[in-house]
Amino acid sequence: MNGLVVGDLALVTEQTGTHGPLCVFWRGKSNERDPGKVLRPFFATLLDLARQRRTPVELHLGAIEYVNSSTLSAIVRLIRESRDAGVKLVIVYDGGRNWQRLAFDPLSVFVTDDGLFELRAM
Amino acid sequence: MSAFRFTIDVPIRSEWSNIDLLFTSVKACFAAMMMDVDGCETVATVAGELLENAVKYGDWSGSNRTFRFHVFGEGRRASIAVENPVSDPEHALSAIEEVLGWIASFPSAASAFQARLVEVADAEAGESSRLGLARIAHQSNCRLRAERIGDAIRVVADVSLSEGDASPSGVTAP
Repeated sequence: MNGLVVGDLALVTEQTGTHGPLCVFWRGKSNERDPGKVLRPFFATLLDLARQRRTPVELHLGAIEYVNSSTLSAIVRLIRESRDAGVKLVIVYDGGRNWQRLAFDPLSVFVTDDGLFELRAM
Repeated sequence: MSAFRFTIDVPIRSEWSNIDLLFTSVKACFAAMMMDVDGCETVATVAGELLENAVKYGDWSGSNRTFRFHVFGEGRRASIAVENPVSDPEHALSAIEEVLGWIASFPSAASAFQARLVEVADAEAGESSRLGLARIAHQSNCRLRAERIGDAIRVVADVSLSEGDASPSGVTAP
């Protein structure tokens, strides 16, 4: 699957083997006015592929410099949509960076017993 | 030695691309003043979210397509203020005060932010999330207030860059 570049944001996709997780590495800044407009179709393709391959999706946010609240909204909707699709989603962030911990740690509210959403601080 | 004072007070054109220019500038200014990387990122994040709201919800139909951005403070206290024209000041002020009151109704800004995240997850894509104010209340532990100034609305975030100065909820109830 191809990555995505929009404005100051670059998403790089990677998969190890055919059964490894579909990884998306976030770089730069996500500061578009309506990031959902480009992220929604990208996430939809990602979820389709993950469902076909029966692999989890991992969002690696540790290297991102900034995300605006509209981007957080898009990520939160992906959490719901991946659960609806039965695809496991893992969000990895840098717990050593204060702003990342404060922005992403509250996503723990979406962790439930079904194991379909996991939050990892590295 | 007494604490030093600082101020940035500029008129800003309402183009979206100017938000990142200011975000980067504020971060760089605070990095030059302080050794505290977290503090720089906090102030820049607050500025970014308030600027986004100003451009999104401001009234840019008139000939004056600028708004005011003001950062000021002393020592380890900073206030970030954004003042933009709106088409219906009473309605705009009441909408912001409703969000601030909603945040203040929670025991902490963190719990308000989590509650808003859950609402956003259940909302239709494209709906206004109103997540920005809840986010900065949580992330900066700031005091947020709003006021009407003629046909404009001014939103101010008072940030304490040292611990223990803000209220538990981070918001002054309207």
